[in-house]
Amino acid sequence: MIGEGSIELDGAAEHIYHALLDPELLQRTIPGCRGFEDQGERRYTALMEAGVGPIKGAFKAKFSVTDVRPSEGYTLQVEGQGTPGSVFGRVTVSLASSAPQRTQLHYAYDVSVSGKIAMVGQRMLDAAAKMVAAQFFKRLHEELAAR
Amino acid sequence: MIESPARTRPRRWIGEAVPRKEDPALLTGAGRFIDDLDPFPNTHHAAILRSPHAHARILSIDSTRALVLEGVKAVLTGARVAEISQPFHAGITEPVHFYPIAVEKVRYVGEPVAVVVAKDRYIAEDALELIDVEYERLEPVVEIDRALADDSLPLHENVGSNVVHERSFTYGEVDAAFAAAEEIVEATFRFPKYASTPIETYGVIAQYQRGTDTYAIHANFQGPFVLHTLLASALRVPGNRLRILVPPDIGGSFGIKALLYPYMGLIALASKESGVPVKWIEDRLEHLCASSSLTDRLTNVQAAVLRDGTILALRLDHVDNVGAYVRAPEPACLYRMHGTSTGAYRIPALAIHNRLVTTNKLPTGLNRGYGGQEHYFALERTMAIVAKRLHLDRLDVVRRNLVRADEFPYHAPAGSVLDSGDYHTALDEALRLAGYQELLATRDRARARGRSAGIGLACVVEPSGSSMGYITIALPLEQRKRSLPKSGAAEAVTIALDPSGAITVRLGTAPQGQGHQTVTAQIVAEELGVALESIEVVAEVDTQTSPWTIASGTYSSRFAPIAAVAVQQAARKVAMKLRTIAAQECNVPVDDIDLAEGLAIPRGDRSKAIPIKRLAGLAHWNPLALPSGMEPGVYETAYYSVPILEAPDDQDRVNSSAVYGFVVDICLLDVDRETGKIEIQRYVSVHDTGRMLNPLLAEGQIRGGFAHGLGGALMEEMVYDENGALLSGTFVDYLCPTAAEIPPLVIGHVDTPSPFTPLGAKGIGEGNSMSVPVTIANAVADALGVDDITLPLTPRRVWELTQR
Repeated sequence: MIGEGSIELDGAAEHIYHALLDPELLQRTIPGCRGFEDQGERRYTALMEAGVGPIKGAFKAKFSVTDVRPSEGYTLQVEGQGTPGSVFGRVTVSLASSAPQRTQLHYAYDVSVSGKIAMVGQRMLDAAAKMVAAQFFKRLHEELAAR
Repeated sequence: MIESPARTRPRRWIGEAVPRKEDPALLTGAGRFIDDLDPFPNTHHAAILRSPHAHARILSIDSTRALVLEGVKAVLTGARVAEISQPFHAGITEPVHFYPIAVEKVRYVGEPVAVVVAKDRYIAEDALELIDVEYERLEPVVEIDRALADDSLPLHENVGSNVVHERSFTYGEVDAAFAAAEEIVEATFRFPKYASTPIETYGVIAQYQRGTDTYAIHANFQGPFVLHTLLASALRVPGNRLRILVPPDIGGSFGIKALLYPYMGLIALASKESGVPVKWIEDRLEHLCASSSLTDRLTNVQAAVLRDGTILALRLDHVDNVGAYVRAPEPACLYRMHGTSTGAYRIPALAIHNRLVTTNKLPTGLNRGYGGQEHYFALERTMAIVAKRLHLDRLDVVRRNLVRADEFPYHAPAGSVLDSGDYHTALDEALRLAGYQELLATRDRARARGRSAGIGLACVVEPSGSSMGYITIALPLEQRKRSLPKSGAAEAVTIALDPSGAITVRLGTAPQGQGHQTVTAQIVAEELGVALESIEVVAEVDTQTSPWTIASGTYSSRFAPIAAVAVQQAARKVAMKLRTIAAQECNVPVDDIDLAEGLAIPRGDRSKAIPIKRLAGLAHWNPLALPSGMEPGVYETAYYSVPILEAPDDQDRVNSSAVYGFVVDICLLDVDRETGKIEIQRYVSVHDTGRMLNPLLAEGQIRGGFAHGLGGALMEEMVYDENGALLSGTFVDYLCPTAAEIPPLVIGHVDTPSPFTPLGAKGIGEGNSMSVPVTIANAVADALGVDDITLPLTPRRVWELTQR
């Protein structure tokens, strides 16, 4: 499953870059995320409640930030596993200044699922992924605006 | 001249259209299926944790949280299973270890990783979420081409390659034939992986008895009972401490329930570990991802031909994908058609190169037509391509090469002995029923109107009653020689008359809806001259008390050619006993006693007739009055094996099946170029079923095989993505034909009884599963003028073909 999108956010690229590496902010913005833990060396673990159609459940997720380009972006490697199946892939985030104190964020994901979630939910997966991405960036936008 | 006294003939039942004896109970909801049984007190329930990954190493399994959940009795994992059991054997030399649960690695999505035993299924399912498994994902090997590559990661490290079996065979002067050929036609074919989808899923209720170290396993298992031996050895008990009990009713199988045996082993071990009887009923999601399917296959065919269409020789290169493990009876899928590789044609020379690969997909097994649909897809597409390349009429090419009626029994180069047939007449009958000239005209009119119409044809030999030796052809000769030769195909039947004369027949066939009780009653009623409805046929198998053989079960359409004969022979033993008693009572020679109308009737003197129930009563109540040397009671068992089924010979020839039916299919269809939808306009299927035992049941079998074949042609495929994730895990994505999608089928018969069995009957339920996929493929190829056809012909795929 691949997808991409972009959103314009308030704030300088450097500011947004740091916010995107803030575990507390991530926990608040990633939909269904709880128990976000910083494991050091830009590795994180979390419990994520997620579901597609009739398949719902908790995933144990591991994140790691790679390909770090300060103020320009990074790649987030994701690996999750739980009752509904497994999820693995990466999200690449790129930042570019679009105007003073405005940043264009572009994201691209390449995520695979396996197990029950793929067997039952694959036809709904694209729509679900888009929804999760939209929720995340909406919350991020709100968080940044509130700062 | 002295007139011989009139004989009283029993009423004829064999061949009559008797309605199914089984139906009243089934139609009133009174069937007794595995889930209806409650054989053991304190039965607990199992749920199975399954792999979400196609290929991964299991780093750890932590069941601590699951074990403290109230109601959970035990959690069984692969490490423990490997300690307390043996891997299942399979018929290849490479050491592909197969346990009923993942050990150290998972190799397909849905593979069992842990079994929870709990007070009820709800608790067991909840506990699955409390088991923590850590995996390290490995490179998935999904497609055949990848499995063949030297650098693909071996699924089985101890084997070191994903090619787990390879053998080559040559029959006749193949090189000379290719040198003499005027044309060489070559084509490559891919056949998809699909399954059977019985309404009733797998079910097991197992009890381990600690005091005696014995297992009792109730399961809706269809045989072959050679798997009893295999299972006992995996469970490390002698055969007499493994009791398999098959319930009275099984809700369909079509081959897939043969592969229930790993789960029988797994649940039996779960009972041993938990100390309680354990029940597991598979759910539909489990069934679609982790039961069984047929193989997907890559076939390359080279045909050496003359310009008049005569085929001199074939070279067949097969790569069969068995999925993650080689599960017995694999590699049977590759070898079931081996002796019959030249199909219905008199092709004198044949070379075969066989490879078996493992991939991260569901392992394979029996499936209605087992190996036939893959084989005939390549063979019958080749016949159509040969005609097209040579600019010959397809019918001329077929007629030129079909085995002629005067050539039976025909010895095919790879060993099958085609017992009887009249293939040319069957083809003519199919053309007649199809109205072939009108069919051609209809097609041409449709084309003139700008529509894409096509005609498809296939001729397939339908083997039935597989031999117990054919799979050993997978082993090289020197290795075969090291063990006992394997031949034959036996079935056993017991008939008992109680003191009141009531008749009970006990089968070892474990039918799944075929109507064995009905046909058995017909045969016994005719042989004993008794009323049809007076006969009770017990189809539930109990390996501790039923007569059975390694070949027992319902697979390879063996009831008609083999089990029905065992029924007849057991009935004849009973008849002989009854007639012998009657002869003494009437003081006439035994040959003068006829059984009819429930009586033993001395020829020419009806007044002295004795009711059969009185004879049975005498055998039970007054043994001292029996003819000298005769045992008391009436309890006769007959074992029957087909003599023609010899072990493979030193030239690697094997007669893989007892008898060979024949099917000709002709189809006219329309392709909607806008939507890719296929509309079948006319479908005719002519069968040679030998001697027909019951026309109603035969028709039911044909229609069922047709539906299954149609599913394979148009809809069914197990789809995996590039990571090995299964995408067709529900009936939303795994489509099966329903009544609405099945077009009318015109059925015809040109029956030639087999000379090799006493009844002459042939199997009939698998022919259309083999013939329909390729018939439809040939019709679509004809409609669109393309050769590269891949199944299933879904609207999307057909639309893509129209865009070429």
